[in-house]
Amino acid sequence: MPKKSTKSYWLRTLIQVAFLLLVTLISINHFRFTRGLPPILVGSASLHAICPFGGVVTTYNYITQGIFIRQISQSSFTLMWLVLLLALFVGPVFCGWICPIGTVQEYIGKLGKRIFGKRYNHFVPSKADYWLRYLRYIVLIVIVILTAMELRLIFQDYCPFFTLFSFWSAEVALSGLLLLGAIFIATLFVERPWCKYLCPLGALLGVFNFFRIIPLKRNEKICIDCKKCDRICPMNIKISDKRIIRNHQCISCLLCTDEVACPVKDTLNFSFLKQNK
Amino acid sequence: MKIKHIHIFFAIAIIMGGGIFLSSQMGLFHTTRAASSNPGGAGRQMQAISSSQNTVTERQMQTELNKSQSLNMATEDTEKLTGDVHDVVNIRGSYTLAEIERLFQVPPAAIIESFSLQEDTDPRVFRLRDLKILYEDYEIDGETYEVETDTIKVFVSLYTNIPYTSDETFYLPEKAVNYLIRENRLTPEEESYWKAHTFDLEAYARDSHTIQAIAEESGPASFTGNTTIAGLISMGMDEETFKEITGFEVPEDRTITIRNFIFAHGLGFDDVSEEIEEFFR
Repeated sequence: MPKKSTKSYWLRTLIQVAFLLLVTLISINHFRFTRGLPPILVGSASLHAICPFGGVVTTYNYITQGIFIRQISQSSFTLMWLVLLLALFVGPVFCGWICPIGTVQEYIGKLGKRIFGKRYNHFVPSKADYWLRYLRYIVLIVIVILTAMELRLIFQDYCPFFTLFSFWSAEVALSGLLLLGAIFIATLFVERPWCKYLCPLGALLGVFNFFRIIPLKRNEKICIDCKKCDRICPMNIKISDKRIIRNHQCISCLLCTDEVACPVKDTLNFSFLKQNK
Repeated sequence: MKIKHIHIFFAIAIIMGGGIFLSSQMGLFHTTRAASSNPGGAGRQMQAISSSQNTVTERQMQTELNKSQSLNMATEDTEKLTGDVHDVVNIRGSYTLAEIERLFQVPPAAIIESFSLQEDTDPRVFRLRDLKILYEDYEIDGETYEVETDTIKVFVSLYTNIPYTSDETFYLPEKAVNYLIRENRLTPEEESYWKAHTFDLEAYARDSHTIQAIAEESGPASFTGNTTIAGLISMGMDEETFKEITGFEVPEDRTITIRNFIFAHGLGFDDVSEEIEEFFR
């Protein structure tokens, strides 16, 4: 069996790290701005201005009243549309490639893998796990409704993104720190627990998996049923028993494809066209 | 066609990078609200406000704005805030900028910039009531106003989104409004209102001789919420008066601050502290 090149894998890592550093620098610059200091290298936008979820929670008020809610600026509204457009073509690439919270969880998860080996990411009973994955849709609905009613960022006090990138600021709430700590601890047992069970933006983007233009396809005729794809999937999606995989939890990380895990060329990949081999 | 990592890389670069570039060129990627408020929504508000020529109506609108801000909070939240040290209404003239930062997370730089204070102002020393020394009263539409603690209360309320209804502050320094807009702290309605209700604070700055004279006349600050009960006693308050004002005996532990004592006994900070200030006057 030919050895896989890790070149492609590192391309995703490169983008993840680049966005992580970019967001970190922007948040530091914003803090410097509040202290009257000039920004370093990039701008000093607030974290709310660079998060597409801000656009999601303000959409209702924008449509009905023509306003963005407090602290939300046009950039987050525009980012939301760009992320949705990306999801329409290639699914929740934002989750698997861009989101810094996903990246941080992924790296903490590596430690969990070292500690627990094959047991890692298999602690939650499958039935509970199945239902828990719908929790993020409830989180999404509750946040959108409450934000529309109260016209303020009710999620800020719990948001792990805001908490992680401004933990040094007095604006961070204890609830946010506790939730972030819980997520980090859970990440030692479960891969991407925030993404799987609670992330409201992930919930919205996940829906695009059902009608994305480029879905994940498995060629049953040449598949050797090694189940490597199942084992590598960070979201525990069972890939090996389907021809077209349209799971709402897929984050388009491409780890299962024949570029990384799948040992048989042209067996498992995202593609426009019908598999014909 | 098979989608590989490199294709996703280009999809991100084209859709995200290109999208941000294009939207910036089209004026659709403002990271602050200063230029991003919705023209329709804000425009309607501006029209409504500018069509109102009389000051009383404008004040009512401002009060309504503050009220609507209050209504946005659930009732239980408002109740939770009432009497809480972090309620904007409890801000005192004796608070320093450092205390405002600690209690409300409003950075000193925000107040220094918004209220045209000197850049080297020490947040631990500058008290809100010092604003009255630095600036003369200002006059708009025949009415006289002063820059004082209530002005800061309104500023902090807008910055933090903690509800506060003022019946004194109807104008803010232009720099303060610009700062709040730049920091995305205002809703479009608030933005359009406050943009139309600014004044040039620096035009009312007192000269240094006058400031010094007023400061000497005022004397040193004697009482703050952080003063301990022992401090009050040593400043001349007898135990009988303490009981008269608070309704409680002087506690055994006299190292407790008067602010903590007030809240521990469910008293109103404003009421008690005003009586204490009156006693010392």
